[in-house]
Order: sequence, then C-alpha cells, then structure tokens
Amino acid sequence: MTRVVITGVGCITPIGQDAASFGENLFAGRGGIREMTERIPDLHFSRTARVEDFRPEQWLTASQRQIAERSSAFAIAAARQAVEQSGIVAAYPGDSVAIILGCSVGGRSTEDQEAEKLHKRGGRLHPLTVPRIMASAGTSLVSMEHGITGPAFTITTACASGTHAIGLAFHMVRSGAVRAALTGAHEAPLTYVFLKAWDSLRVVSPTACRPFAADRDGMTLGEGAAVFAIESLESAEARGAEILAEIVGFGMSSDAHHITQPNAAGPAGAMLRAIEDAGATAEEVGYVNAHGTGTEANDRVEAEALHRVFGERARTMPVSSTKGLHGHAIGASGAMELLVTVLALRRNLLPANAGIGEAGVDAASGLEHVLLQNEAAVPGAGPGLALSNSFAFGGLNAVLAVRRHES
Amino acid sequence: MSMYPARMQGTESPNGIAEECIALIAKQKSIEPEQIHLDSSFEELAVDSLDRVSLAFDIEEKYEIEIPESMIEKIRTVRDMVTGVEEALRQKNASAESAGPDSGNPAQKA
Repeated sequence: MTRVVITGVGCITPIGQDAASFGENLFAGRGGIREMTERIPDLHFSRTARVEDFRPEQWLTASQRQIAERSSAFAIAAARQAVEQSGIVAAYPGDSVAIILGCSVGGRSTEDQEAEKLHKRGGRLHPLTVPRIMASAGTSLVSMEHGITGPAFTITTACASGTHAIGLAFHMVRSGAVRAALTGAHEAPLTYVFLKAWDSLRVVSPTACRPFAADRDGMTLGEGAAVFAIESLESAEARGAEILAEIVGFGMSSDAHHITQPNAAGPAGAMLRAIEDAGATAEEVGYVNAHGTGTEANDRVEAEALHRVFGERARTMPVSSTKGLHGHAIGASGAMELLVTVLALRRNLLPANAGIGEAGVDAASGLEHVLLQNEAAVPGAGPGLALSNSFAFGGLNAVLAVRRHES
Repeated sequence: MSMYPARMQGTESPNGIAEECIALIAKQKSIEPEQIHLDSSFEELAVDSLDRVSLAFDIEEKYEIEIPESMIEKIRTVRDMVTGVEEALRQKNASAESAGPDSGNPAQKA
C-alpha cells in the first residue's frame, strides 16, 4: 500500500502566521486569546482568538483581493507556504494533484456586510457577493494560483471539516487516485452575526477556554487556516523532499444522535477506525490531540470515548487540547491541530493543555495524564503514533492517525 | 495644449465620465490608468463577463442610473462604455424632466 507523507505545511493562526512561529508560540504557551476590540452588545463573552495583523496585501495579488474575503485569503496564504516548502506544484502535473479543503461557514464577513447594506438602504448587492460568500472559493482561488487541475472541492462538516478534508485527501493519495494533494482548512467566523449566534448557544466561555479543567466554562472562538502538501513516501524520497510526518490512518463516524449534543459511541468509533486504518493497535498510540473544546459536554463525552478506545490505558494516556492557545477555529480547527500533532511528533515534545488553573483537571474525566505542561516523550518509546480528534455538531466525527517519520 | 492629462487626450468627454470609466476599469483589473485608452478594447484589457457586471454595478451606484443588460453585452471598448453611460444619463435626465415635480407623490394623485 502507498505510504503518504507530509512534505509541506503553511498556516495563518492567532499564534503564528507560519509553521515555525506557530510551533514556537505553541511550545512557549504564548496564546492568542484576547479581548475583542469590536463593540458587540449583549454578548456573554468578550474574548476571541483573532489573527492579528493579517495583511492581505502581503499575500494576495490585487485581483485575488477583489474576490477573496478573509476566509479565502487565509487559505491562499497558508497554501502558498505549503507549496513553497514542499515543491509539489513543480514536481507533479497539475491534473495529478488534488485540492481538498475544509470550510464550515464560508465568507461570513461579506454576508454580514452586504446584509447590513441591504437592510439599511435596500437596492442591490455587489456582483461579487456570491463568489466572496461561497465556502468553496478558497479551494478555487488556490487551484487558480497554482494551476492545479485535478480533483478540487471543499468539505463542510462543521468543526470536523478540516480533518475530514485531510483524511479524504490522504485516502486519495494512498489509493493512487491522485499523486499529491494540498489539503487542510480555513475559516473566518468572527463576524457580528456568527458571534451572536454562538452566544445564543451558551457554549462560549465568558472567561477563556480551558479544556478538561474542573472549572471549564466553554469554548473560545478562533479563526485561521492550515494547509498541508501530501504525497507518496516513494515520490517524496525520490525527489529528496523533506518529510515532516507520515499520515497512516483516518477514521470517520456519525453519532446519528443529536444536532448539538455529542455521545461517546461516535467519537470512539472514529478513533478505533483510524487506528485500524493505520494497521495499528490502540496500544501503539502514545499521544492524543483531543478535540477538547472546553465545553462541559464535549470534554465529558470525549473522555468517555477515550476510555472506550483505550480501556484502562486512558487513565495514563498523554492527552492535550491546545484550543486554550489558538482558540476553536471551527472548520479549520482540525487542520490547525494536525499541525500541532505533527510538531509534537517531530520534536518528541507533547504540548501542554493550556489554561488549566488551580481547579485542576476534572477528576470525573478519569484522565490522569492531561498534560499540564509540555512533556518530553520517553526517548525511543513514543509517541510513535498519535491521534488528532475532531468532533462536530451534528455528530460528525473524524480522526487522523499520524506517525513520526524516521528517515 | 490639451486641458486633459496625456491619457485623456482625444476624449470628447469633458464631463469626467471617461476619466471615471478608466478609473473604474483600472481598479477592477488592477492596472494603471495610463494603460487604458478610449480605444482600448475590453478584450485586450481582459475585461471578462464578471468584470462587466461589476463595472456596470459601480457605474450604476456612482451615477444612480440603470445600465440595461442589452447595453452591457454590446460594449466592446472603453469608448462604448463612456457613450453608454452618457446615453443612460441623458435618458435619466429626460425622464426626470418629463415626469414633473409632483408625479412621484401618490398622495397628490388621489
């Protein structure tokens, strides 16, 4: 079977606008959750994880800027970094490369602006409104910039969009359907209507996101993008590309249960399938990058799912969610967290689960090894195999299994 | 010596419409206005169908006129665009004059 490796990565996040700065801030615990500067009345929260100082003119041509609103702009910037690092566009014919990106909500800022104009003064909307709003615009703009003419589409599965996109791209490269892919996710959901909508769900933290904490009180919304270049191990080695990690498994499931409430069977099924898809056993897993949103329900149910998958080992399994640093970027969260997982494997250093204070880890979770600080893995013993979890509203679950690449 | 800048020489549009059209095309296509002349064709400026509707929208917003679909399709050059805008403005002014000051108020008709 074809082995699939990551040879390039790019990102635009609240804690770094390239993989190197993202990694530096991640392991230094320098978070991007800040007080909002916008005045939005009657919100129960005041903090978000925004990408500060993102300058579209640094990344986009004038003609790209006409069409790309913030979400698509993140995709273009992250994809270009991945292309430059990997060299995949030069290495493969355009029609043998796929672009599969995740995006849950599309061009929210354009939709908000145009709706406001319409309600205030009526009349018509700008002709570019549709291209700016459509969730697949990022994929199209990336394909045009790089001349990639293979399969190209956008996956939307709420908070699991990025992980579903990467998993599908991984399967397509592994099966030989394409020779390489650009895959990841992008999202820019911090808009007036979207923030108000999340506020109404009463799942956003009035303080700051602290997953698995005994006193956790919700998630913190974020934004950004992460994009990976993937290809077969054989081709990557033949052309001398630097291999960052190997994607070995992907598992999916649906809870078929409730539009917002999670249940443990679905997430557990997705983890088990990812491990099986990797041809591995649960015993080989040495780290889980949890979905860990910081809501009461997600973290409780994810802990239960971890117990179903790992049995007694769940108590001692190193687990962390890094959403307390970069926030929850909705559809882009899975891609950002795959980057966290790849960096952890490369450095043999597991990132802390940021935000847990004096209240400590929720004892009811039965998770005794939630990482309170960065932790060096035992040399030579792990984490050879790591999981990256994404679980979405509506019970859509996706899990990637990744291995450190030993050259 | 012409009263217009070099790129405007030859224009018969002293009301600024030609300059406005050129500025809008320059913005739409991200090119310098100096590269655009009245006889430049939309084809050579790579003005595509989406650009056409965007430009029509910009013009309509600027001059509070309506550019009919049939006119958008017929425009081949910058000069066609300027002429079209002038024509639409003439029609707007003519209908405003013929309508009279009170015709828009249903209350007075009742």
